[in-house]
Amino acid sequence: MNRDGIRDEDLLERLRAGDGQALEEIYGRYKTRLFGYCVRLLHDRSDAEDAVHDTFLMLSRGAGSLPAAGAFRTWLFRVARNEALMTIRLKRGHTNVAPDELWDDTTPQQILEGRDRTEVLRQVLDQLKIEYRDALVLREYEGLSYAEIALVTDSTLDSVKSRIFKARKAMHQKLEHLLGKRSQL
Amino acid sequence: MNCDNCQGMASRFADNELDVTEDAEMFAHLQGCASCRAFLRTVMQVRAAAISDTPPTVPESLDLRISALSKQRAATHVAVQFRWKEILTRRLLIPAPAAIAAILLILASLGALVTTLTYRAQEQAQIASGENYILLLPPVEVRGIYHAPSQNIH
Repeated sequence: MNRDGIRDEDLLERLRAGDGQALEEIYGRYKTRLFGYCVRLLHDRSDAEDAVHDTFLMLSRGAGSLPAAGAFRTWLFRVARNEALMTIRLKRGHTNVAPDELWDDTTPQQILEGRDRTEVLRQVLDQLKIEYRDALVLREYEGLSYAEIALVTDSTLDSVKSRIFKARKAMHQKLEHLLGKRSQL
Repeated sequence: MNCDNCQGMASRFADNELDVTEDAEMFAHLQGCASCRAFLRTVMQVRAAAISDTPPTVPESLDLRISALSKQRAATHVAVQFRWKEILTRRLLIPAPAAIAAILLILASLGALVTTLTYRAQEQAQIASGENYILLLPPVEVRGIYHAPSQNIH
């Protein structure tokens, strides 16, 4: 239930009944999170806008066969993720990534140009490969549980734990490399 | 416990996924391992950075697109409702009187048929009992020319 006391179930019911206003209310409820998530995946506001729009287009068209409200949040993130990954595939022209590669090819060498440590952390996170960044963003920025991340990313719980751990480890190593041993206790 | 195991636990610790036993094992290792402490510190710093990070502003153009989408959704729903009404009026209400007339005609025909059959059955019964003997007489053909009385007979 939201702060306004209206549950997602109620909004979904209204949407199924053809209430266009319900779509806008769901959008108002999730737009910041979904847009933020897509921006962090895509690094492009315009592409993120399209991904979120297409997510709500699917919500609007598939209103008759939507999941139960308990799974609604993960359904939204899942659709947004699929839209974002589709954009990445179309742009890159390939999808396969070697499992031991954790970093995007475009990692800038001047990552320390960030003004403060938080900015450096964010930039390092942004340079992670999509598979690892995706899981970590869902965990750290969206606060999803491992089980929810598994639903969103269509993977197993162990796979989610593993990817989050690898992402954190890779970030730690990258930060140590960039900042030296200053970060150690 | 090696550092890889401890860091795996530290990752899950940050997500409240460790049980009490694992918790104790991890902290026992952390006491003597600066490398793993540094890892846990990074994990918590990433968490802090994520919490303090301002989410990107949603562009107004996206708001407008979704608003248009919701209006389109409402209009589509009205159109679907209208189509149902059309089906009800054109396909059901207009042919209904014709269907009723046809049913009445069929019923009337059935009634006439039943009456005829009943009459025939009664007739046959009368013949069988000899009650209506005249029906047993063969048909007689009457031929001849009828001459009307003429006024010119001499």
